[in-house]
Amino acid sequence: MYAVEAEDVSKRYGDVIAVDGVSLTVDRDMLYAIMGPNGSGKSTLLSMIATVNRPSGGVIRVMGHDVVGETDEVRRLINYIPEFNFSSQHLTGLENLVFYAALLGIPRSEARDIAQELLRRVGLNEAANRLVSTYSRGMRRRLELATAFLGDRPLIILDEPSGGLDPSMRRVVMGWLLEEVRERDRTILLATHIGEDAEAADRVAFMKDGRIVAEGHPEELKRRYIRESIIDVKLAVKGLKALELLRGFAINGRVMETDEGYRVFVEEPERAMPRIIERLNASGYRVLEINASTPTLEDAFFKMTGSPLG
Amino acid sequence: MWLRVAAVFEKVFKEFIRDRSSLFWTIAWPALWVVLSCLIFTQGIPEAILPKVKASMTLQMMGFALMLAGMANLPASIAGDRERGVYRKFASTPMRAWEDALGRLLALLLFSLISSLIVLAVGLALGSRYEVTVIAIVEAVGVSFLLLLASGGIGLIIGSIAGRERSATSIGVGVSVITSAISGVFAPYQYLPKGLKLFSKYYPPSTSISALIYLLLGRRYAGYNPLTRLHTPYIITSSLLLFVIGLVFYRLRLWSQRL
Repeated sequence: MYAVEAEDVSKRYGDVIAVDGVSLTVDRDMLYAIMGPNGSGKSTLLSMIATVNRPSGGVIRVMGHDVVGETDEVRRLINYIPEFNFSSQHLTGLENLVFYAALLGIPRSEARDIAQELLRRVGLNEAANRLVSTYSRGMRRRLELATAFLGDRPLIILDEPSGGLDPSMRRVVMGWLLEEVRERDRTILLATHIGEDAEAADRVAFMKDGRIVAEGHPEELKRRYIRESIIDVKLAVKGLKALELLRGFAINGRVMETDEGYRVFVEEPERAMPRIIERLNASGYRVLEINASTPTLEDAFFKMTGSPLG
Repeated sequence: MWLRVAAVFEKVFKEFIRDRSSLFWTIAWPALWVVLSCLIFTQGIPEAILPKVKASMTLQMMGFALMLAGMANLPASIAGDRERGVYRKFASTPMRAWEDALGRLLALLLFSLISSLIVLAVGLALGSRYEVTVIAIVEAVGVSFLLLLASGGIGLIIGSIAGRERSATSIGVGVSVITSAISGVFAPYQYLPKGLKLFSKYYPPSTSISALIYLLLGRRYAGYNPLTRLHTPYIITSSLLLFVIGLVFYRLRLWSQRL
């Protein structure tokens, strides 16, 4: 039995098709990531699996139960963490967890101990009795992630779990999730627009414009879609001229913009790098760093779809 | 199920008492009006009736506090949770609409009780006096409950429609202040123009407040008898109707999309 089975699932809002004929299966005891840019339909798909939204078409089953016909059974098997900050600012961290424990049917007598242990796991034990209004954005998100581990639900559904967290904390969060999968036999289904998060997954699905466009193990996806080498160029400043310049070196003009610069898809990085430096310097762009880089899932997504994630 | 009702009750009540804005509008402001009314607006009133005049003003402000709790605090709580995506989270859990509604309404009831007792205490400290029987007090509690139901119904409508916590608070405070001003909550019924007297008699919250004053102080201070054989069923029915309409709005707007 799969943890999640989706067959030809769609969701329409009037004329807008948010999810268009998605089919996927998620095995049990794995970390499965749906990766795509904002607006690709990931959140809508997750909300349908979590019984928050009704599908316009198709069938979704969670642990063999139909999300439409057996909603109560599905809700007893899942814990869904939406993208937004849902914790109450006027409650303490501990009070928030005890509240959400009660929603899942955990008696108060057990909930406090469970909540304190979870707060310790996510590094919030010292802030447990502080109001959430005093928490930073990252602390708040960690608190909300802690609610995902309440109740021993076999399937945890997370929408952008590391939103608002710095890169270091994102890796810690992914570590917690893998621990849940490996040591507590849970299945985790997450949606993310951050390629690094998906790198830790057992399987990844690329989603664009409401459709799943590719699916597989992260390394398999990279091998399948990236035959070229990639040069990572970090610049002091970015600009259209730099982008145009780099497109001249790239195969099929393929250049992906990043926060710090660009990633250029080339055949022979050793020949290309010195020429890139020379041309950029001549055009007034200071190169901070340039090196041949290992392909990432973001690169694979960009190569496959022609669009960046962020 | 009662675990979830209790959890919502505790959450919402704590939010009410920890939110400074909520404490100001529902407790501090009515209490301040009692102070102003009893100290400033009673100049020239004969000593013999002064305690009862102050009592009447206090009861009006107690009613106003209940109106604010129902029309501003409750919708702010609902809209705030919706704005934060809490209802999306609820939708994926075994939580039922009635469990959430009951928890919130119980929190509203307790908070309103506290706020009205504080306003009453301020009035008593400033010289308001009542000569009442136990039966009258019991009846007054019943009327106060109807007032809270009507206000809560309006609050459920506001909370279901308003997109944000701030707009829910603003709309709720606005509705309660404006309707209070034109229905005689801030001033004696006797001084209202004819048209507004009609509104005051048939607007459920204001007629409930008049009923409260009639029960505890008599017709002289209420301005009319709101507890006639025809009007008493009207107060009960209209308050319940407003409450039910509010529940329908709440169910349709917040829970109908849920599977």
